[in-house]
Amino acid sequence: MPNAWTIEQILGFAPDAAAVKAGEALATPDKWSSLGRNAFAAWGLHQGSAAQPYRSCLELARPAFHCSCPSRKIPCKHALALFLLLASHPNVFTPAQPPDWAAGWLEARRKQAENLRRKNSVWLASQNQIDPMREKRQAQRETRVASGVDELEAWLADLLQQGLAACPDHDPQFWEAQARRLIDAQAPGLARRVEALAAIALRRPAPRISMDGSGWQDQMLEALGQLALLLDAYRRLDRLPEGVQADIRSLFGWTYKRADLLNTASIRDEWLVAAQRVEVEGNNGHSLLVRRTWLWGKNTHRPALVLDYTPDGQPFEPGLAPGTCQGAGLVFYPSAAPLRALIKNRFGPAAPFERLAGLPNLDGITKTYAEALAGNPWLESWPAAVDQVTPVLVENPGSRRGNSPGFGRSAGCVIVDRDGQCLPVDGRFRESWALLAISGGRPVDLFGEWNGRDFLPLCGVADCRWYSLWREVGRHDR
Amino acid sequence: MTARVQSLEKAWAQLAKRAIVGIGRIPRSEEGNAATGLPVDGLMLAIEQNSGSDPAKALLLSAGALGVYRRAGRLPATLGSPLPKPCRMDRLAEAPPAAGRRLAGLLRENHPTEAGLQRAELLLEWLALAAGAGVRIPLALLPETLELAACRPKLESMLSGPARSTLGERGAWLAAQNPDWAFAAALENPGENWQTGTTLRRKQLLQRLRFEWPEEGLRLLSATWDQEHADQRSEFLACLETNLSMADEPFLEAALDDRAQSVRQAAAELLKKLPASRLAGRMRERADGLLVYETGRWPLQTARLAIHPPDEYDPTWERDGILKKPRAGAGERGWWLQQIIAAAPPAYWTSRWRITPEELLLRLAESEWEALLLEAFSKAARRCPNSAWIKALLDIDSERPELLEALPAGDAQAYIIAVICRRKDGRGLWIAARYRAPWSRELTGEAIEALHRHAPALNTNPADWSALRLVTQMAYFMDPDMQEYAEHWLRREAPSGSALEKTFSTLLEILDYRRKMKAEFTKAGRV
Repeated sequence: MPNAWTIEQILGFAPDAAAVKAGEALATPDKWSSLGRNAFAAWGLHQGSAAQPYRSCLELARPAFHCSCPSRKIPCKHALALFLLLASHPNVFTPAQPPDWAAGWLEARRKQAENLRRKNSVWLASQNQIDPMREKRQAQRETRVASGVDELEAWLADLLQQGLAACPDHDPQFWEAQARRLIDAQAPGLARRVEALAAIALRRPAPRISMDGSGWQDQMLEALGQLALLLDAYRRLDRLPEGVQADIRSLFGWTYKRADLLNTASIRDEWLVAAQRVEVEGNNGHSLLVRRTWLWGKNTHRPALVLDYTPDGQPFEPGLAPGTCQGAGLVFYPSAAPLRALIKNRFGPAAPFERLAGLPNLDGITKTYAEALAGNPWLESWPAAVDQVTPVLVENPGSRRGNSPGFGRSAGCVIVDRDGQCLPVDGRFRESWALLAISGGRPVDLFGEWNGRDFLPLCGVADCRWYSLWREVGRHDR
Repeated sequence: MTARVQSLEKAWAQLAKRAIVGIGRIPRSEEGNAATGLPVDGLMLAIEQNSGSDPAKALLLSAGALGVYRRAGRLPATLGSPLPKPCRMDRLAEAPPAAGRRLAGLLRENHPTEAGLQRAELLLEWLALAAGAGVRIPLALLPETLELAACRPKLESMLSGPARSTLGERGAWLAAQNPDWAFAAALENPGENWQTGTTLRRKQLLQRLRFEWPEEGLRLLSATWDQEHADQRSEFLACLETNLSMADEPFLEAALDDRAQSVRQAAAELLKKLPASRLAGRMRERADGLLVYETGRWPLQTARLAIHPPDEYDPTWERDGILKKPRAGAGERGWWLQQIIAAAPPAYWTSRWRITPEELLLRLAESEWEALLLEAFSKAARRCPNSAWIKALLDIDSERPELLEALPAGDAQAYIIAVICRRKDGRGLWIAARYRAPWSRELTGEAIEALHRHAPALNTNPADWSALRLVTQMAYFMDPDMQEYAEHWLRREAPSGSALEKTFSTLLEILDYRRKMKAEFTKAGRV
């Protein structure tokens, strides 16, 4: 009964740094008693400051945590310590039947999973009823959006009339006002696009700026062109294919209910959890944390992106651990180029992977991107995994002494595949040196996003070891 | 660029021009999209026809379509040059995962460590432990380590010197590609790199050469010596201090005639460190007449030390680095006396007259020149370290902790232990706090007990922060295996809430951190 989780992955489940520290302090055998395990779970008792010892239990498959201490964090420091202990000293756990309190919780979880399955089938039956209120709400929304779209088109025509050269002269209010009008018109996706236009015009740094020499005017024109295509497509929404309709709706900012989705057919495969990023999103005083998990299907060779949201300050639900391979059924959000997905069910434990099983060469990357664009022209970038590419330094950074402090100038890199073809790496990629360090001039497997101009690596597998190529930058860091 | 790409870019540029200038200003004749000869032309034509009356819409939709076409059409290019040579395989193993995580925390400074832990000291210690255990820095952490070292001289000299093995082949290969990390790259073509390169690079190169291959460093320096600027000459000369030996003596003797004052001074300083050099010999000659030791004569006259400071300034002294003008407030003759005595190795006196240093210093105490000559002897003892002399000097005036560092580790620590045990006040602790090298178990034990004894004295109100800071500093040099011992003696020793309690608990935390760090390199840490 080997434990598939490594210490790094376990620490990845911790809600914050204080929990890590506390958990590590408790992860010694002498602090625990009555330790036991079976094939799916492990448990133990820890004498804390209360009269009764705290009872902690772990379910290994997902994993799931349970503890009788009053802490509200998931996992609390006791559960985390138990997990760490299991990974470092597995033989202090005696194989046994779970004690009553643990058996109770495990049984409750099993019942919960069954209930969920039953509920879904009941809900499906109820779908056939029609909700009159819903139709009215939808009609109302559509009128608002239509008027918002008309107004936006006129505004764009006005911009073009004056010429792009006049754009930086507008103060931020000009853009913000238009964005607010779009939010009022119930099209938050369009509002975000207008804010992105503002960022280009006022030359605020955007997450990815291409280094191929295109100035801000070219970027502005491209963004405006995309926006115009979107508005034009909205006018003809009903005449467009299903997938494109779904894409346009989500670009306008209308979300799908998770429950609706979970009833559609899932795609089952061995999914490699390639990378994970947590970022802050949102404004207006409510900041959200969004966790992006990129998956790569080992056999289907297709990417998937799982998004989880939580209000700032609260921990995420335990999700997938990057660097592992998990058999799962994924349900994709409807789209002409499906990417965003939800995990419907999991099969078997997660195990670390040693190879990415990606596309054989870089041509594959550009081809899949073109195919995805053909379905959804508003895609920014498309993730893909590629095997055996070598990162090469092409731009020698000059000495950065005397410049502002920071991680030094990033190296300009390209990646070269086995056929001798190369693609440039995003100029803003901060971990070029880490990429070079793990490759050492030898081919590695990479997973990243291609946006038609450059490649942004998200993770690499070198010498059968998985490395994340994103360093978590704390909120107060540079 | 191929013809197709060119026509595409031209069409795009035309659209961009019209958009930038503004539709209102484009003359009617220039409207309409340029043909690119590519399949997208059909789409562009359709767009124009469908939005005939609305030029803004036509422009934007054309831009949208052409933009998507451009992005989708980008193909991989062929790499013109051959791939660079891959790195050699590393022989050493990587550091254990737990130690690697600790290094990551130290590098990033957001590890859950306590406030007050100085990561600079701990990083140096981590590297020393790794080098001792024969393991490498984890690959993913190499760039951060090298980048930090490029800004921190102590870290840089550690990585290019004693801890070089922790970089491994991968580190040297990586460093060769970034000019900022040249200190870590393998030494190749030193002669060629010496001829080209900035002053900073050449200085780094010279320092490294002196560490690994001193003769080559000297050879390269003397080859280009005459063409260097004066400031460069004095900087490079300072590098010769590493692995200084008699082989450098002829060069330094010639440098005494240099045009620049700073260079002459620097050369003289270095030569004073070589007892066998000609300069040292000259100094001994000059010093001969200045101190005369007369043994006791019958009947029962005690020995006497006669001191005859020089009456006038001999011009030949200038070349050997003896300054004529004294510091403010000091007399001329005393100043010259001091410089000459300081330049002669102290062992000269004791071997000449066959007496112990204590005896000589005792005689010195009777003279009016005592303070001056003590200063001189201390300087001399630091330049040419001599255990007996240093101990004698410390006995007289232990306000000189820098003398301790000139002693070998065992002697220095034995001395400190002796002082701690002998004196009832906190003098021993004060000296120990300034001894910045790894402590032995015995010294750590004595220091902990002394802290325990002096805790009431340290617990002053208001708190003496400088003293308490010294106590915390000790924690970086104590033997971490004595952490439990320290815990036993010092925890709960101070009144709760006092500054002393905070100091002690910080000390214990630092010791605990270091103990865990050390343990992670052993087999137990391989989790």
